[in-house]
Amino acid sequence: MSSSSLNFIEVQDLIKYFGDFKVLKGINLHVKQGSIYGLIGPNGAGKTTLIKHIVGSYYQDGGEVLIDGEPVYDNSRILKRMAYIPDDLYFNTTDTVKKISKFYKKIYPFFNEKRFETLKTVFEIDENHLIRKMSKGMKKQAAFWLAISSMPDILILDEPVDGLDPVTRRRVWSLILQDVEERGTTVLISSHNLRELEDVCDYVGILHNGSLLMEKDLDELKTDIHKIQTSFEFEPDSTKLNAGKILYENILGSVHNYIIKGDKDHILKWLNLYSPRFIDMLPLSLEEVFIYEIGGEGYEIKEIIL
Amino acid sequence: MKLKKSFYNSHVIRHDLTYFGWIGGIYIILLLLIGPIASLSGEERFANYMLRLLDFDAPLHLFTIVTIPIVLGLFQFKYLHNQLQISRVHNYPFSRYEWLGTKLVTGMFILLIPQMFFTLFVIVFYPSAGFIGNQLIHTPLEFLVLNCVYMLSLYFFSVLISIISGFTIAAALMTLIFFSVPYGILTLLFSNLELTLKGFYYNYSFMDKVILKLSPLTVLYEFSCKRISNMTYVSIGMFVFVFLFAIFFLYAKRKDESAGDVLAFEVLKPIFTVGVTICSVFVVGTYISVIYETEISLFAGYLIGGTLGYYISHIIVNKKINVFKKYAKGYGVMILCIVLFQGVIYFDIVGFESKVPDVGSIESVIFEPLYAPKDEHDRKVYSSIEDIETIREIHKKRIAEEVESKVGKKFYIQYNLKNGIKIKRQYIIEELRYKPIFNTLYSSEAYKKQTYDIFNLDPNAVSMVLIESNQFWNNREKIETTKDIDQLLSALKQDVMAASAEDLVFNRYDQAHIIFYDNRHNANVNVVALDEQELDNSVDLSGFDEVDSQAIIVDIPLNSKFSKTKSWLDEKGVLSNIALKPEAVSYIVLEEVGLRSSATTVIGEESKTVNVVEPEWIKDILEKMSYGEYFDDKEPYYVVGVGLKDKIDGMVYAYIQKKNLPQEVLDEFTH
Repeated sequence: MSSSSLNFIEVQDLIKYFGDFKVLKGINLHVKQGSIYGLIGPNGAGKTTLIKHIVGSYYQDGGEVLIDGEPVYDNSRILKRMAYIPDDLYFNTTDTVKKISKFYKKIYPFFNEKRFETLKTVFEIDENHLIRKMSKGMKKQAAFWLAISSMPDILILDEPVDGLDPVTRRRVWSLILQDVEERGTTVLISSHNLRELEDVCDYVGILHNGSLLMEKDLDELKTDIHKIQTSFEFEPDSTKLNAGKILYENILGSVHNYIIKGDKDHILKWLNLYSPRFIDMLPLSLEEVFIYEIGGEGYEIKEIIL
Repeated sequence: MKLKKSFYNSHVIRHDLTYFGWIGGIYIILLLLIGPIASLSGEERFANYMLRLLDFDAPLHLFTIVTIPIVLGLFQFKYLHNQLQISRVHNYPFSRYEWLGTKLVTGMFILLIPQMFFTLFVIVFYPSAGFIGNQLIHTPLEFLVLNCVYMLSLYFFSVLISIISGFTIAAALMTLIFFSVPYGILTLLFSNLELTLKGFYYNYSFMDKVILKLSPLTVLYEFSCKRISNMTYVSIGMFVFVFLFAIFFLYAKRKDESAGDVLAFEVLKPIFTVGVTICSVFVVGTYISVIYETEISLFAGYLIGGTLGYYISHIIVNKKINVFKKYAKGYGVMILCIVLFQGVIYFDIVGFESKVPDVGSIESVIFEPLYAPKDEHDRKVYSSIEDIETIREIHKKRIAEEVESKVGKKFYIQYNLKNGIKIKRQYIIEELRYKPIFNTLYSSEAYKKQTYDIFNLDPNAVSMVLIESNQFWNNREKIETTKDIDQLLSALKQDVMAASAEDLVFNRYDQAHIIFYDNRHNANVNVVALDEQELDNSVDLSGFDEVDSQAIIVDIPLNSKFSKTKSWLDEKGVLSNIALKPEAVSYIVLEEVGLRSSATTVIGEESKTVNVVEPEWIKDILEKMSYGEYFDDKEPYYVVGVGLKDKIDGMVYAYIQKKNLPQEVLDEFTH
């Protein structure tokens, strides 16, 4: 079976230049159908640029961006099945939710009026109110309401819950999960809110400096990095850790704190070489994974003394 | 899967009309306001104005057909200049072509529907269809089509600029700048070459007849003309086609990320900077040279203009001030180009300024004032070796001038070489500087025959001759018999051939105009109307062309030195009615005004004046007085005031040089 049949969204060796500056340096990204993919990375990593390629706005200087096996750029068939909510929203001065919904009804073939009506009660927005006069959070809800009503197969979200209150955030996440579960919608989310991503994502890709550092199943990712607290009888020799990589090490008295990437069994075997008095292996949050992964690429947290 | 390709979407058109339909609304209101605004200035003018509603004379109409399409284009495609908008729009489920086509169709609706409605309104509410048909320059249909096609060309132009540029203010400015292309750029270039390159021929006629039609804005100039040339129609049609093609081509190539840049295409950036720099070089160069009037000031102007244009264009393109170091190398190259350009011209490296072809290589030469009629058969062509030598002599002397002529007449020289090449030059030449050479030219048979059209006239084809007095009397004499016409022609020919350059040009004075009416092409001479006019002494006589606009006219001035013609007219008893005869003069007042630079035509109390009443002296002065156009600055002259016996009020004024006055009269001044 070819990879494209497995991956609903497939980015292959994507290269993009802005002038002389290489923004995307050969990205390979794969999103499976019916999954939620979290795209994370520091500011300026190229997340929005990558997303604009996926939504067919930018044309690549190299590589390919395929959705359901078809190039996405200038492809109305794909765009009919896609909804995109950018971080910064733009609405015309006379736009109301009602006006846009009427337009969407004409241009999106799967627009679901019933769903639109049902969601009225969820978002509690006056559909006749001018969107430009709404708050940022309200605008985001309006965009989400319209997007989800168009019954997309592909949902691309750039900072979707930024500006939303905690209750609305829950509602939005719940709607996304429901859509994925019921309709098999494929979702790609870019967000800095890693805590929330951790709860919804199936896959995570970490983008840094225009390159995808890693792309993994979230559960796999979390089991691959280990936070360890231990104390040894003998001083350990880190060079003997063959099947792992120490990302972080800190010694406080006799207590050693490690973040180690690698196979759990191999790590335990190495620790046991030095007669540990105790071993605590703690799960890592996505945020910690992100920090230690990015830290290894020279984007570590720096102590700043002002 | 079957692909269904479409270039517009009706839902989007309806949706788009809700956003931009207001522009069409404003347009139609403005169109309908043309009439009421005109009515404010009175009923009669309102009627005239209504007549012009379907014409291009109304200022409000001219304003709308230029601004509405531009504003519409800028508004409709404003989304191209905003990252958020363009992402949203291009995420809609349409191909780019479908979206673009839809926008253009909407734009056309907004522009054309008000125009059609307005035309229909005028036709329906206008007094009568016959009124429209007879008196309008353009028929309603022609007006409608012309308007629509013109507005479309401007609209497409505006859209094209919106696509090329990355933000709306830049698009608006560029629309205005590109409007002047190529007329403005070529005018700048030719004006500068006229300033720097001695002898450069600035072909105004070519600019007006061809270049003016190559810009969508300047072509509008021709719309108010009675007939719109085929070239104009082709030109506007071409604009529509080319702009539309360019819009679709460039829209597909345009990258969304260019929103916010000044120019959306990298390849345009050097063109923009070079274009702005060149324009700035020429504008500042012209400006400074006009103020200081020296060659070095022009060069300094070029350098200043180049510096300003080069860096300002880079600041605009890069959207930052600090560009000086980064583009210093290019700046050096630009300065070097200016120095080379000026050097090539100043040292005449290509030999343009010093080129005077050999006599042997010349077939003929056209030599005439620059603004002389340009119909080929009207041109003064010299083919004899003597005349060619004379013109070459003038040309060579003009090239060798150390202090250039500034106040003379502009002359055009065209050498038609035997190998088919045409060498064209244009100079300001002070004829008095080379008076002996010009004497030879103006005395030549070729000059006389080409200046006075009587030599080609067939007496049998002339149905009538009118002789109109100049400023003395409002009189007109008519000669109609073939015999008389023949004799008059003969006398005139003899006088012209016998006249010197002094008589014909340098010391000329015309007493009347002899107008030959060549009726070979038009049998309906409106003589009755002429006679009726003569009976009504209270009105001025109409010009001959007003009597019958179809007439072929040969207008020959009756030079005061044409003695044979004057004698013949005297024999016929008509001279005293149309020309100044000594018997009609009661006195002449002469005022000494010294040199030409202190000339005045008002006889003042402080200047010394002499009254001349002696008939012989009066006759002498009348024959030698002239318009004074060619008086030498260094030679004293006098204002001549001729008092007429029949006219108490008003005098006839002319000039006379000291050397032409009778000694007795000069003695009067010393007493």
